[in-house]
Amino acid sequence: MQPRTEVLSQDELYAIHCASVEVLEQVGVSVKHPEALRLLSEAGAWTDDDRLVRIPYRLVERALAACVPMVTLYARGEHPPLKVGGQRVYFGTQGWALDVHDWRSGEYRGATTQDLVEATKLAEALPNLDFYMPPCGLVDVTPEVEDRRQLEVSLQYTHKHINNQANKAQGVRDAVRIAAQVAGSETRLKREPFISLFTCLDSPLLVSFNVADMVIETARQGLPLALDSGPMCGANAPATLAAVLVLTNAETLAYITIAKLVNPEVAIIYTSWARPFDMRAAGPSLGGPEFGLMRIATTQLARYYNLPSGGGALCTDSKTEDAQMGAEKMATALLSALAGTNLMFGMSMIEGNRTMSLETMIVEDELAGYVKRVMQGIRVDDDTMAVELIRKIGPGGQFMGEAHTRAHYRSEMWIPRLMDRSVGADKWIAEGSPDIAMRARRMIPEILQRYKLSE
Amino acid sequence: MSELCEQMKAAIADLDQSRALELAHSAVDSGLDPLKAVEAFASGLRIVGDQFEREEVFLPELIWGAEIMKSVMAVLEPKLQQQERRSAQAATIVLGTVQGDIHNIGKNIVSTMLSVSGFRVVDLGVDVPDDKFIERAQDEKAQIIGMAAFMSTTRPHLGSILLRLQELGLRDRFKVMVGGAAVNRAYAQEIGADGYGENAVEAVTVAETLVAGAM
Repeated sequence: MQPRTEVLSQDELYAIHCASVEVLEQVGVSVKHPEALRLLSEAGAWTDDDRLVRIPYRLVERALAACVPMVTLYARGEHPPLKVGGQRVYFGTQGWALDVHDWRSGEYRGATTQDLVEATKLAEALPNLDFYMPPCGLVDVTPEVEDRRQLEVSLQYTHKHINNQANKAQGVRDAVRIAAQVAGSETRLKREPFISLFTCLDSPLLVSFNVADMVIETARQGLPLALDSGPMCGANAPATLAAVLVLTNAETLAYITIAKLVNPEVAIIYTSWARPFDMRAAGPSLGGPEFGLMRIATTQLARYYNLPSGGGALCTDSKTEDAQMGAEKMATALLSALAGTNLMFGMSMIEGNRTMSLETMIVEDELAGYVKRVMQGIRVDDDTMAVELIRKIGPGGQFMGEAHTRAHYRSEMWIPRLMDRSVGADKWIAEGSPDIAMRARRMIPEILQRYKLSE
Repeated sequence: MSELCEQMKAAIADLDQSRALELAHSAVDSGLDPLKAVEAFASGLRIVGDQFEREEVFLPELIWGAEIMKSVMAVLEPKLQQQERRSAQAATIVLGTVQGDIHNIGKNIVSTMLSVSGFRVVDLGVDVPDDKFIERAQDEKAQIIGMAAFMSTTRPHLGSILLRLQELGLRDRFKVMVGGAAVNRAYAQEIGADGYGENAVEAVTVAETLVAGAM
């Protein structure tokens, strides 16, 4: 069996579902987009005044009935397609960091196209990174074309699946146009979409003009869409985790309803960055224990509706590549993976997604390999229990030279690339006592030099 | 290197035991100089050793490579003895894990690697009393004493054996190399050992260097 963990019982999931329905039917969402307003009201939503829309559950139910439990996200080159659904777990980056922690100088500064090129090359090369969202904003281009440049660079330097986060509806249209050129035609792109789109919703219960505009445009274009809601405990949501789940769920259901009214065929990935809020720092915490708890819960909610899931999964609040980073990234990754979160976002980010770090990507690739091994569980059959071998070797014997060992050890035991297990400190001291961040940093030039686009 | 020798080298490097044995038999049948055959197979094992150092293969492959080497040596041995050259050339190493220490995995790997690299290995096993190392080294006319310690509580034996050798006036007669999880390069230097191997591949290199220096 595959290891799996849950934090909500079926009764609790049902309770959150009912509470979300109650919120949608009795509180409603504030809709600032004329087309969204029209679509909802024509479909039978109750519009008490001109902007507040209460959504009856039968609309939501119809939208959910048009959803698919599994969506295939394609890649180019030799990269296999991602079968997003079930218990499968895929690792990828997150987008729009404000700064980069420069691996050459250690400086924190605005990221440029050159930084994005390097991050994308790493993404192409790292074996456990499964999909790619351009991780940083770009200070060397005007904001109007930033998302277009991100996509162009990403398409040029990686053949892995790209999850693109546009910042306007025009950006969505342009993304589809740019990718269609690469695919050869829009039909080919839509048949095997090697890009998908990601949209952050506004909380609490807001359907703002820009977000609705992008969701409607994405639905119209028909590419897979990750709808991401991320209310924060005690800030734009009540402090209680259960209430944050009710809100994140209600918001996502409202947007699924809108997207499906535009195009019943659009594939939706139920994504959440619902998170705690730190009352001292006055900002969200992405590395805290509640983050992982909520990821398990939102993944359970996605499965409750038979939808593919996504969410923040490799997260940290730390400003640098230190023990806090490792602990928080691993905790959030492992908890999400054990829940079966299909798209695990967050790679390349430190400082609560404000800063991109290439060293971190390399450490995370290692963590992802670790977690993937955990997710494989323990294979139990006659071959793996190996009673015949135990009989042959007998008490006091050794198994290292056996064919059974050679046949199994690499698949049974994960072999790290970065984590240091060597015995004795001599060599390590001679190499300058490198911690994991330094070892990761030392790997960057070699990876960049050996970079080759998968064909 | 002849084509046959190249094939021998490749058979071990590819960890293909049946191929290696087949080639060993054809070497015997065709009357190829058995020393040349040993050298060819050994160069294949060195490739596996290099791959091990580069972390391309790991212990199970290294040990398997050594096992294949052992099996081809068994085929070639009668021819070698006819020539009576190998036994004269082989250096002898007395090897064991020190008293109070029953760790044998690492010691066994070193033992195997040394023996397939042309050393005559006298493996004393584990939990070996201090004096036994010295007595057997004298009896076997060994060039090298190899000692392993895997615990901080047992490693003082390494130093006491070296002191004992000095007391007996035997220190110059043997090269002493040490290893094991409880030992590092600095510790080996501190107690005055002649060599230290971090792993089985390095142990062979160190032993070869010590023998070359002694001759």
